[in-house]
Amino acid sequence: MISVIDWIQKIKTNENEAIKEIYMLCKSECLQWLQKEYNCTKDDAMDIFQLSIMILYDNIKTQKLKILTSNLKTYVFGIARNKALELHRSRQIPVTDDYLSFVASYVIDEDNNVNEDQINMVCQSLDELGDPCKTVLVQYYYHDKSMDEITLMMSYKNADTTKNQKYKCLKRLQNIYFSHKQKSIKD
Amino acid sequence: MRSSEKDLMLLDGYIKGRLDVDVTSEFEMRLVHERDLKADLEDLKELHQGMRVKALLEKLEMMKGWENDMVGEVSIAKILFQ
Repeated sequence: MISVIDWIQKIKTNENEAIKEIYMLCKSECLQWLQKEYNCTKDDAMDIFQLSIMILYDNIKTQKLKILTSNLKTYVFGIARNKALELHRSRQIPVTDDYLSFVASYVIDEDNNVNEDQINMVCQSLDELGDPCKTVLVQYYYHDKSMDEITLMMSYKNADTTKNQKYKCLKRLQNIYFSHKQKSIKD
Repeated sequence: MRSSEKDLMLLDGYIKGRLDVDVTSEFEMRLVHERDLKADLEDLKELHQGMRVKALLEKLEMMKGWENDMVGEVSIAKILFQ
């Protein structure tokens, strides 16, 4: 049995290992449960399960989940249940080759100020921006890493260099994004 | 991004919810009057959510990878024990 506090702490230090731990702990039981209780196909159950683990992870990263009164497994099953019902209601079956719109829909549900086109354009812009800029920005904005942590991760000279690099990267990303936005207005 | 590096730090602090109450209210007053600052905030929010999607997609792909690896391992085991 994984303690919730230990696991949340682990997400902060070794996130991929922590995700795998909870993934393996819940997988077979959750897949069977989704197929039995919600008549999901094996593939749909797998999509819902993986999406649920992703949401658990996101809830911790965005600090929506700080304390948990139930155990982790119950929490994952709760997310899976909601997603299964949502998918049944909307008859929107997860499309296994379109994860971008799948994840984008989840983020839009949480923040109505952005739309799918904008998210697609940002993702495209990030791909065009490439590394190391993409990594620097995602680490800073999503993973909330400090300048010192990014300096170490990227082997930069010091935190000032990283700060400067982050500023330049953001400007570049914004320019790419702006050109995509302009293009979409013309189209 | 039209904002200076200093304003960008304020924007970062604002979207991450890290500004003090006083600084936040002062900053929100500026947002009402400074169109460029407001536009940069909107852009930054969109970029931020796009980065979130990108990070989450990486995790989903990682999970898909585990499943593919497991299928591969089962196939190898089947060949070995046939």
